[in-house]
Amino acid sequence: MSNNAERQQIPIREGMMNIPSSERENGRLLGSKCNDCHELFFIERQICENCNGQNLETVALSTKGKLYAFTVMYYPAPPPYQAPDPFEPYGVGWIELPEGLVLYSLLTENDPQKLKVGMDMELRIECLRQDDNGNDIMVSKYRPVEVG
Amino acid sequence: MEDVVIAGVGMHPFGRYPDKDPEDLAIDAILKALADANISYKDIEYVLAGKVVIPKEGMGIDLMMKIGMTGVPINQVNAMCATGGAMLELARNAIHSGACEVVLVYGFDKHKGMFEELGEPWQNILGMKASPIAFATVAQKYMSDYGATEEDFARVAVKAHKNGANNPNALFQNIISVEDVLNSPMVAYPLHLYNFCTPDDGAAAAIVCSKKAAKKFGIKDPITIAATCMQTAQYPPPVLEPSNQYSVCMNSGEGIPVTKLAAQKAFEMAGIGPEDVDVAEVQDTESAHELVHIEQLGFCQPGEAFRLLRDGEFDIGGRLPINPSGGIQCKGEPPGASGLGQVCEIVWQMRGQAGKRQMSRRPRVGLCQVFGWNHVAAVTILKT
Repeated sequence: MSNNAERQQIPIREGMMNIPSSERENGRLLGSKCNDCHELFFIERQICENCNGQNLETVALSTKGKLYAFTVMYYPAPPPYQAPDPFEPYGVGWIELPEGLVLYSLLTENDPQKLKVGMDMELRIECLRQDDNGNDIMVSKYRPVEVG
Repeated sequence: MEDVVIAGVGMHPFGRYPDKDPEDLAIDAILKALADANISYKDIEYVLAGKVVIPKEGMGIDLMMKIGMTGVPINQVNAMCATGGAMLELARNAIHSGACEVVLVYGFDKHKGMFEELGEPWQNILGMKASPIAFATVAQKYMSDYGATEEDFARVAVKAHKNGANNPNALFQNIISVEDVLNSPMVAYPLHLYNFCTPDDGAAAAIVCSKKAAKKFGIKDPITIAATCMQTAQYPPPVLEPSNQYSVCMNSGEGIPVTKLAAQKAFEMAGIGPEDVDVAEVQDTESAHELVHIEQLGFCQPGEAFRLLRDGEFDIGGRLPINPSGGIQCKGEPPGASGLGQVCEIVWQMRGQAGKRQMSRRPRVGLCQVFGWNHVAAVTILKT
């Protein structure tokens, strides 16, 4: 069990998310806010794309948003993408958050008939797979909010 | 400022040439362009070589050891799929600066499949930045915003193949139907395989020179480059414009597409408007972007292009023929060469040399537009 004690959950990209501390919680995606021009960005960064300012602070982003646009990919992407066996088509889309930021994300849903621009979406953080050290590699996806 | 003109063009047919070295493709296109202008390689004072995918470093420069070591400066250009337009702007500026009078621009490539590493590593591990995804998302939003259908996108491909069937320089020279497109496998919703351009091999070249030099060489019908403008993103970029972006803040408004920005500059430079254009070759990475680009260039309002296409306005016999060559949906896309491939088509249409796909009324104003990954576009306006 000693291995398990050291096992960690690691975001697939540093500065991308807060890992939930328990299974009851859902993590938050992280962004940067420019203190000079007030623009927002997904994922922590050092330089503002808009004003070139370097005075940015980390902010947690809303977990809910609306679907802005989407697609479903029916072929495996080229490497380094590792397709599951058997390959499953996967949904990707842009989510518009209440704070005015639109971010790009994997979706849990892969049936285009079940996706609609403007529908409510919520964040889900899940394990992609384990790395060589047995740590969980964590990724974010958005899923349609169940109605009713 | 003195006019800059195109004195000659040449193209190695786009297609698949596993047994040919990429340099052979380029040399073929260059020799054709020199012959077309009836000038000698020794007259070239500056060379721009475009390549995007070919992995060998220095290849644009190496090529000169095979066709003539004249000591002139040679630069390599890579602006992704906008490379051809980027080179024309550099050539025109070089001539305007007075540094030279005769420039060879050529592009060549061998492109096998999807680009492998467009995004950040984590995005690529998750398969998020495969190029069909980015283009399909735009198509999906276009359908949702304006009520276009998969059939409308299929009609774009059908029109492309009607033209490409008459183009000996095209990879695909076959007629297809709306049903053929809809029955081809779905690649990324809502786009099918036949909606997409195909990566392939090819080369194209143009001789660009001052009007004075053209006169000296006795070139009868030089074609004026009335404008050529390369454009990159202006913050904020449009959310869906295919790029490495993983977020866009819309609090300061919606971004303006780079093609629209490039077109505005180019029309201003040329002193004309979209209504003056007789023919255009636009970046049709897939069928939906042909429509999107027609709108961004100002040929119609946003959301109108698919209806005009239904009415045949963009056919060779229509009000404004779009992609009479068949576009890269039929020619395939060697990204280093595709932009100059467009220029070849417009020049041939203007001279009445386009064979079976010749417009009945010879165009006097033509436009070429290329667009590439990470918010880069170039618009070139040619005039007889």
